[in-house]
Amino acid sequence: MTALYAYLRGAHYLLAWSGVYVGVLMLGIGVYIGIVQRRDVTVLFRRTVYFIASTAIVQAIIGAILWYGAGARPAAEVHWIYGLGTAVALPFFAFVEVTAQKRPSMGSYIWGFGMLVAVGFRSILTG
Amino acid sequence: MPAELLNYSFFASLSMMLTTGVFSFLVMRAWWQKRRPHLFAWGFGLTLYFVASVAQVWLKFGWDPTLYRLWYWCGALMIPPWLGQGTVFLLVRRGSIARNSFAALILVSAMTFVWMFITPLTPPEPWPIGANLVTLTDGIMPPFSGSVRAFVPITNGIGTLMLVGGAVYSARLFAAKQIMRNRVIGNWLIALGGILPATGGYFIRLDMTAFKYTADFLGVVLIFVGYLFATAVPKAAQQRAERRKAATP
Repeated sequence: MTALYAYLRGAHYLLAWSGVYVGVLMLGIGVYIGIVQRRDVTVLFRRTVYFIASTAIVQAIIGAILWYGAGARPAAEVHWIYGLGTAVALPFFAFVEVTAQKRPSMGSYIWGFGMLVAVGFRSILTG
Repeated sequence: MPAELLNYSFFASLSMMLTTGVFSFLVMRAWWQKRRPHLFAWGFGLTLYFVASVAQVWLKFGWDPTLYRLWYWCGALMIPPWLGQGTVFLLVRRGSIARNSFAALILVSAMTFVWMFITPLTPPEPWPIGANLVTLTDGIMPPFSGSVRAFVPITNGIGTLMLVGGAVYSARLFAAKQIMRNRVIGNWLIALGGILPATGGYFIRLDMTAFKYTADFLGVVLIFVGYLFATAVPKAAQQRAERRKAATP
């Protein structure tokens, strides 16, 4: 069991940093497509967003398992608020993009990844 | 009623409670009739103003952690960004910028709300009747690095910039076109009313906390008068509308 918790802890940490790096990359791609090329969200981009959002949710679940299962605590209590913020940021903006009546609507993901990176980074610092 | 309760900040808070109560009701009623998003954001922001002032009055009588948290969350963190969001909805029509900033606002509102409720509070013992919350806040919720108080300059700064900037932009636009003089006056009043509560923070740093209450109260009064000016239908337009209505079979 201890080995499992150690593994989950490592996965939680790895996913957090990956989320920030991939978030910066996606933010750059979003700016390029949306602002430089003034094009709309592509199917591939949207699928990638869904994938990243799902990993953020998996990460939140791992965090909850560590909290309740192993009794692990982050450095600051506020970590779980940032964690929840990271988990819901992308679904929020994906909803705005999917329901947008005005196209192109890449702006939603630029906002979304901007928030994901900022909140995710703060989350790591408090974890 | 205890004598120590009857101080300046109590009457300023009470007047603010009554003003924001009427104002938020009027704006929410307008939203209910017209269903425009800017009216909803303004109405919600004013409702937060009302909740903060109710809590402020209540806390004069005694300590209550939930009311204190509501007072701080509404009053210090959320009023300017929600009012600013109303202006964004009204003026920024390009793409989905307004919807995106609205999503960001909801996210930040939810995060700071939960955060407020897990923040430990250390109220003074015994709680002073007629307490001046502004002076007590540093003791109740110390401004350590990484606390929810770090959000105050961000949410207030952006919110005030949106509200005041939007009002100044509208006032100058109507003035340049030389139309709707009522909107020019109304928007200048809203801009002035938006700046006043933001300047209250500087009065706190200067240890002039009584001005903070005056600034908050005067701010909402000016925004209210400005709103009434800006939304008033000029007589000529009213008569035209009535004539058109009468001419329609």
